[in-house]
Amino acid sequence: MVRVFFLNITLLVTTFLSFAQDAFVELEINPKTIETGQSISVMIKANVDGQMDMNLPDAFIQSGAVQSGMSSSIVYLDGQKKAVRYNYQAFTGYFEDAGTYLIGPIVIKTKDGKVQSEHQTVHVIKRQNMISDDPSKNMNQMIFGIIEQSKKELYEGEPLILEGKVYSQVEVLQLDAFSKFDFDGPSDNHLISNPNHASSSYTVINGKNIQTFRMGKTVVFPEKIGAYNIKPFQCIILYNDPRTNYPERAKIVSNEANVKIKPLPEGMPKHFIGAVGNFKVSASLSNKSLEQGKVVELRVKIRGEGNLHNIEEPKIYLPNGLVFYGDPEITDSINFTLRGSEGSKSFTYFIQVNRSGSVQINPIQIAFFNPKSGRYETSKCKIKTLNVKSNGEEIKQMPSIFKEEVRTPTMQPYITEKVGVDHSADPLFNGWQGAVLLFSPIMLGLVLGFGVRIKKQNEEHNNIKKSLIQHRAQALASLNKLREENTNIDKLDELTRLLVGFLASEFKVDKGEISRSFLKSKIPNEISVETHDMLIFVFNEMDSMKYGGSINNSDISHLKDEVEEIIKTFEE
Amino acid sequence: MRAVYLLLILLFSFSLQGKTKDLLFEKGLDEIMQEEYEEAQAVFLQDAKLQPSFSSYYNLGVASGSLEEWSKAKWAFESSLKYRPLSGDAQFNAKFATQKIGENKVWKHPYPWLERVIIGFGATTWTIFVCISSLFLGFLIFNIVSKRKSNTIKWCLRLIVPSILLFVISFYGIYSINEHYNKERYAILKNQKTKFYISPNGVQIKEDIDPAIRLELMKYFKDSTWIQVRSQGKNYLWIESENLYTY
Repeated sequence: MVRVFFLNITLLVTTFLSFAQDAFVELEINPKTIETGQSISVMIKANVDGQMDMNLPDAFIQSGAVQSGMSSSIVYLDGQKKAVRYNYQAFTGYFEDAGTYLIGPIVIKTKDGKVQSEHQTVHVIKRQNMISDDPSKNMNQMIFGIIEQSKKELYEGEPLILEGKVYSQVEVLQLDAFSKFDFDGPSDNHLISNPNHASSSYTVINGKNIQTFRMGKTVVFPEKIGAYNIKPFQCIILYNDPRTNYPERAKIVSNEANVKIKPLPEGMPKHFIGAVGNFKVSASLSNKSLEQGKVVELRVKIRGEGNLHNIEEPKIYLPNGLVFYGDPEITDSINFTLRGSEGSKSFTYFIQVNRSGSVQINPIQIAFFNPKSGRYETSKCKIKTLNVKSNGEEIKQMPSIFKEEVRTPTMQPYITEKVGVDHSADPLFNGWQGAVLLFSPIMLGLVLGFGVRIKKQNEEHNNIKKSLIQHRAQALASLNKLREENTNIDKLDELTRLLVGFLASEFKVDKGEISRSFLKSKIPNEISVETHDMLIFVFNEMDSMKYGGSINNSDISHLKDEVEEIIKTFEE
Repeated sequence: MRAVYLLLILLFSFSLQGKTKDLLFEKGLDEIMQEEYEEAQAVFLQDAKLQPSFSSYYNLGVASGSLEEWSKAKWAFESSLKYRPLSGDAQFNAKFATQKIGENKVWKHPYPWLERVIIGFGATTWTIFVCISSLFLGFLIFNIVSKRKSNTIKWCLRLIVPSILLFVISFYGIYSINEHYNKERYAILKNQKTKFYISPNGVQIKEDIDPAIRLELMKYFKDSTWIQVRSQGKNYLWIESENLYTY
């Protein structure tokens, strides 16, 4: 209510003041020299009402709606400062063709006559590409557009990414009528983003925060070598003019970009499939075992990024006895991205196998140009061996389109796997050294066997010797004990038992075997004649004492000495 | 720790060496696939020298045959049989090359069947057999000689005869394989204009030798610059080694 009241007051005062001023009409054009397609703003100021007649050239294309309102300004007339109130109408437009155009005059017919403005001249020149591709150099403009391009020079077949980018130093309210950039040459273009959508962000240029809009992102595959222009993109922008605080429309025409398409370098490999980018090849067979004469499917898959959609089929070199059956089937799964066309492309070859046994299809190799490394690269894959069962029949060609061929006998084809590498025996086993090495465990067994045997024998011998020494010592000890016995009979019995026991141990026989004849048989190898005689003497003495009845009166100490002597003789 | 690093470096360098050799074979394959037979021939020849294998000799034969160099092809195919004597394709191609040199020539396998069987088993098999049998035989002999328990000796005596048999056979296998790989036995004339001599640098003699025939290599002379061969007519001839393909 209050707002309506103040508005009425303002209108009343303005009307009174208008009546107090001289009638005038003015035509303002800004700027007066423009490029083709560049926007100009036209403003008509008048402080009188009446029928307005305006002369606009036919070539003028209005690019926005007419805005009208009231305003005031201070002017100096006859040295006096005066406030001037007026109504205004404003609109924008542009010219498509170069030339000099007259706009106006504006004639307003009133009750008191007519009021007329001056006419204005607009010079329209050809596009000078006055917008630099460096945004910091365009900061004299409130709003400007630049074509962003991934590369200025690229190889034939290499993808080029283009995008329109609008920079604005004022508040943008709306973007309309986006007209895409245009590659001025033969090309295959694919939109990556929706052209009706713009993404907004802020960027700092020369220390100033600038609003930017990106739109129309496109991947372009130039088809021919040469230098090409990329015609500018255009769009209409509604923005808040900080000078008037009113929304204004402006047509934005971006810079014109250019790009050079270079031919691929020389030295193209034979396996080149027209691919530019980075690719990998893989292959698989539908069957690994099949019958002779049947058809096997060989699927060759190429994955990668670049110009995948434009690659040719890889060349397959078949060995003798294998033939292609028809053309390959091609399937693909390709997306257009910032890296070009990306995904995979599969070629399915149908191969008739007319040969039995193990059949090795040659490895598949592709060559492509990698723009990153700037050289041709290859990718290779091996194919598993086919086991082809013979059908025992003559090779029958499939009833087909193939021409009948006369075959001359040829060699079996080359092989692709490195087999049968020289596995000759280890040099360790060569020559006489090898023979020595191989016989060494046998010889070692023999030598060690003998060693163990001799050692065992020595041990046995030592043990016997030890036991003999032991038993002699025992015999001497027993003989010493004998001196303490009470009766001669007991002493004699003990002496007899001791001597027989000693001799039995000495000759390793039973005690019962010790006899005079036995002792005699041991001469001269084991006992000497003297020892034998001593033994016989002792035995005879013992017998005479025992059975002669003189034992109680006899002294047997000399017999003990005799026995001791005999034992010591054995020790020696 | 230093030793471990050293071992790793050694292993790495060995693996790189193997890779380089394989790369040579792959390069040869590329050339032969592109029908660049002269380049393929050179690469496979180099590969066969660095790391002799059935595949390198065989493909060398295919490349040589494609260039109509049939003597070289025959030599390469028969050389490939040295590594895989049972390969049907190599035998077929050797026969094919022989018939290209001289029509209606009968081709015979250069290696007798027993040798083929022995090579068929492979050097590794024979090495394992000979090592195991030698160790086992040593063990048996040790037991017998050292007079172990009577029961053990009884078993040792039972097993010693088969062990000796196995040792002898596998030892022969190793010996044959060493002879097979390390000794050149045959020669093929490079061309029909080859000159024959009674002795090295001696008197030249006239001898009609069928170039399709493989000659038996008898001995070498003077740093292998001269080779004595036995012709099919049992004549002993000296030939300059540069005029012969030997294997």
